[in-house]
Amino acid sequence: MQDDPLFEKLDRMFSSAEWTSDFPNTMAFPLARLGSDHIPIHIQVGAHIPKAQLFKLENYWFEFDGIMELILDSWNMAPIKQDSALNINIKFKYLRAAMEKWSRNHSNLHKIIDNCSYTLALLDGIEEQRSLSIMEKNFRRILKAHTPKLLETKIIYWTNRAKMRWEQLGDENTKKIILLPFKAIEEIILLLSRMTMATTLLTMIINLLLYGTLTKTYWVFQITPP
Amino acid sequence: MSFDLDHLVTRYDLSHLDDPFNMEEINTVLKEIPPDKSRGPDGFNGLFMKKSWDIIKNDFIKLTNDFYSGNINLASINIAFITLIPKVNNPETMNELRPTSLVSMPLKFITDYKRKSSLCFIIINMASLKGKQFMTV
Repeated sequence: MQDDPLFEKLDRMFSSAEWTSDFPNTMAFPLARLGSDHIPIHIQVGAHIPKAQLFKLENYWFEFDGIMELILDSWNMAPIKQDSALNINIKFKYLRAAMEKWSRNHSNLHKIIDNCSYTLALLDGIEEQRSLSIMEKNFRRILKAHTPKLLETKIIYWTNRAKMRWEQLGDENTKKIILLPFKAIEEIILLLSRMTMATTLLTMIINLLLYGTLTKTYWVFQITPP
Repeated sequence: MSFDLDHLVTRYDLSHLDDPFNMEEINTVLKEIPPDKSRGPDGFNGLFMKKSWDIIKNDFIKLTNDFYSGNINLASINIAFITLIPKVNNPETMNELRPTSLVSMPLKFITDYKRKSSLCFIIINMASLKGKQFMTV
């Protein structure tokens, strides 16, 4: 190395947009400089995005038995506070803790469904060897009824997530605002039929001159109570 | 563009904004709360409110009544996630993002009364007249 080294960033790692979207968890770690004035970079590739540790209530939880009892118990277990906002906050905190604990056994839907299918296949396999006992038959019947229910919860889970796309296009609030000008056009047509042609045309022309577009004339006509 | 604010506001009947909350109003809020919207910092959504209303009812009625009388400290529930939702595929400026607040459920509940929307309608109307953009809550 030189006696008076230039501290410039020489060693870089380049990545493309496709790479980043395929392997979002790619990390570049600079290692110790040995001998050369370049440094080795250790690149770790990963596609796994760590999940946030925040509590999130899933709608499908309500499909399981015992959830209401859990809510009732933990809601009433919390200490009562004088301030009602604080009171509710603490109750939610207790409920969150209880539900988090409960959900550990219920959140991995994929695994539960797999386990159910595996057990069903196993029971069918046993039946080919020997006839099943009454207990085994009952168990299989319960499992067969339970598995479609689990699949349904999976549908609820994905419906929740499919909604996110819709949000980008606009929610109820924006829809209202976008739709208003169309309503305004209807109103203008209504006004047209009521007013004498001369005054209407005059107003329209004035508005077009003042505000440029027809959509903006809306505000001239619409300032009436809803 | 100029307009007369006082004149505009008196066109709406605002007397009902002062009334105490009644059960009918509370039930309307509960009925109209969307069951599957994104959750706020507390992690609970509208479906939870609907499903477990019998259990949590008393606390929420007390909350709304205390909110009306002003005998409440909102600090513990007044929390929200502010999220930027892209309007286009690769947003570059703030104009291409829409900010939205994901508030906690109790706060959402007391701010969701119908009278708020009538007030909002006036504000949005006035804001649009001024050409201002508004954030949705």
